[in-house]
Amino acid sequence: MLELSRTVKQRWFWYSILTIFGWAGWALLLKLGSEEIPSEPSLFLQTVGMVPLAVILVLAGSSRGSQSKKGIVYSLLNGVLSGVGILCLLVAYRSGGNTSVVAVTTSLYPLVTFALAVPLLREKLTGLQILGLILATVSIVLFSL
Amino acid sequence: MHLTAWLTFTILALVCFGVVGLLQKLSTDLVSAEAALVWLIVGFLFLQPFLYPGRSLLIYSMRSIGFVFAAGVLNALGSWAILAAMKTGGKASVVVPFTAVYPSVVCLVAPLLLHEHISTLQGIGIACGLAAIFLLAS
Repeated sequence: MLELSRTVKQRWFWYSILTIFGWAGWALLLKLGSEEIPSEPSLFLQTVGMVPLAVILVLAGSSRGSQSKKGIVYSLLNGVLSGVGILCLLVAYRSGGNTSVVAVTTSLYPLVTFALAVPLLREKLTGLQILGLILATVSIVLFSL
Repeated sequence: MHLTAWLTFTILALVCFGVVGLLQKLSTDLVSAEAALVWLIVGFLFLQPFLYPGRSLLIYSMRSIGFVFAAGVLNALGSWAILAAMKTGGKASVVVPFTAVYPSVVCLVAPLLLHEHISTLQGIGIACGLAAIFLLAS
């Protein structure tokens, strides 16, 4: 309980909560919009929708700071791989993949991150966090059924 | 072993999204969350020529266009927040599975907004998701 109360005082926890609500809203609005608009134009439009925040950040000067070339390359790769991942998902659906199986398999991506982060970033998890990771995976699989 | 086309692309998507989680942490170790988001969106824009349908998008209703555009705004906001979470000390191995439970919120809101039904399995999924948030935050 003490650990939990310490965690909720940390900024990363609340940013994570904001991510959950931001992406939940993204999923709901995309679902509403894609009832009429096919997948590729939807992806095109939603990328256009991402641009205003980038413009605001550039104009406000908040995107400055350390201009590490390595950091920029990682961020660019992040954007390209996110887009490629979404495209692969669409191609998988169109190539005859069962929607539930494709959704279940791709939503297990935290396991790939976990498998990479532990050896590459030398991150360590507590027993409770490992249990949380397992429950998150169970939760994601159940949503896709 | 022969992999069918759909399975190959499914695995590719899985690997891409998994690597993205790692790149989010690596990038925010070196640049600010805001700079990382701007360059992430630039990376996304590289793909736009391949996504452009080649005809006017105004054939669709403004309502649908508005929904998808707003979805993009929220996607950017969510992406910025996850980068900020990592920048402010969140571990990639905790933040990524933590935020991946966002369907819990969708399942809670969808019945009210979209009049969709929650199955028993999805109900159990919400409970697991909430328990996961509690444990990952510990």
